[in-house]
Amino acid sequence: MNAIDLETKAALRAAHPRRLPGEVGIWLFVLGDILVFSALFLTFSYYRAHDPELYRLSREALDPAIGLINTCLLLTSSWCVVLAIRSARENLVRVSTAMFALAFVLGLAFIGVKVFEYAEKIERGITMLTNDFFMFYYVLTAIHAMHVMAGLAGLGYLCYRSYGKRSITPVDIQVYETGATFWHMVDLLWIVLFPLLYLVH
Amino acid sequence: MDTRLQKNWLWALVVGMGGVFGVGWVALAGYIPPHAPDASAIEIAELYRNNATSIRSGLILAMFASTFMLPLVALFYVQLRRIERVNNAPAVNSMIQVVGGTIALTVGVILPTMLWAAASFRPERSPELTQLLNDIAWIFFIAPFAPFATQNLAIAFGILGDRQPVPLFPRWLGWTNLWILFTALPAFLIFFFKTGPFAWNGIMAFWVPLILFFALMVVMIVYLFKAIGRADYEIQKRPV
Repeated sequence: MNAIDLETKAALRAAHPRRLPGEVGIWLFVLGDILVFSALFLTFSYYRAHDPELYRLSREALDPAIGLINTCLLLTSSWCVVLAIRSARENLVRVSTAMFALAFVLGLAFIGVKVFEYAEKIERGITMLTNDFFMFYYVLTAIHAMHVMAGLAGLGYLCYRSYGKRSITPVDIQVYETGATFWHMVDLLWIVLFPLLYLVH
Repeated sequence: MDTRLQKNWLWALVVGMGGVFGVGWVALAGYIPPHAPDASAIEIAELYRNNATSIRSGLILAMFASTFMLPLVALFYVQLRRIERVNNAPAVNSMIQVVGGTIALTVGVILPTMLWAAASFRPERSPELTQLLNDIAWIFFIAPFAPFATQNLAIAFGILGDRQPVPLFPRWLGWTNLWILFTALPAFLIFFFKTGPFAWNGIMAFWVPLILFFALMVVMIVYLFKAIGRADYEIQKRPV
């Protein structure tokens, strides 16, 4: 491969605009994560099928109202991210920065509610060693929460990157979309997790 | 630049890791599927007593194969260093990868094989002692999240920090290295559970991470070969 081939390659790359929002790599990340979470969900379902009574009784210790609050927090947060990118496309820098910040705060609130939920249970003596249902409850929601925290780091970076910008470039949009894609995945995972743990009979 | 030396090491690595370690550790010594964490001391001691010869020979093969696994860290260093040089970055990610990778291999491969071999050395000792050695070895094999995570993070940031028009490694490989971290998180849970999906022989703490990690290794090695062969990477040097 000589230098001319390289230039051609770079030129071809520039001539063909991407069709996916954000980088290709984040979509592989998202796909991979969904795969692993599916394995977790399937494992949970398999174990539940072997002891439905235990799981049904244990589920009563969970408060679906809190789960719903968490769902609303994440959904609203995702919506803020959508608004942030939309306003970024129109160069409304202050609006997009504010939207990223709001999304961050809502995500943080999600973590806060989770902590409260865990604390309330631990006080009642329910830990992940109590029984299989609670093992899954704690592990699934904790791994999800770690994804939320990673997403918060991403949102924080987007907010920081957006702050005080004079004009928004296509590269910026791609970076925003990359972060947004991850955050939407985190949201999607919760939308599956919530009914699976809190609601399904 | 003559790339034959790197490629020879890499081929030795492929043979060592894939062939010898696999044959030794899996087929001969029988560590896949893993021993059950909830097995009694007597059961474990019997395992080592009855299979002493095949366990010892399998582990010896695995230890020998480790000779060729260690250079992987250095080969990554060389390529990550190329990225840093061309992008005018300090030798941070490349070095962090070395630190993480070295510790990961020491603590996650060398130590466990030695400890298992020590367990098979005197199988007539008290069963609790044999089980202790076996426990420690398995824990070292599965649970050292930190050094592996450090290595993966360094590789990810190293790859993603490449600002050249045609980067040395494809960017998605950087993201994949980030992703693999999350798949390894259940490793921390093996201390709490002796059965189920989060035990050291469980589907989420052992099988899924192992299969994914192995798949990533294959992909990384393929792209490492390509990166070594990229004579034109430095030519495109775009000022950063």
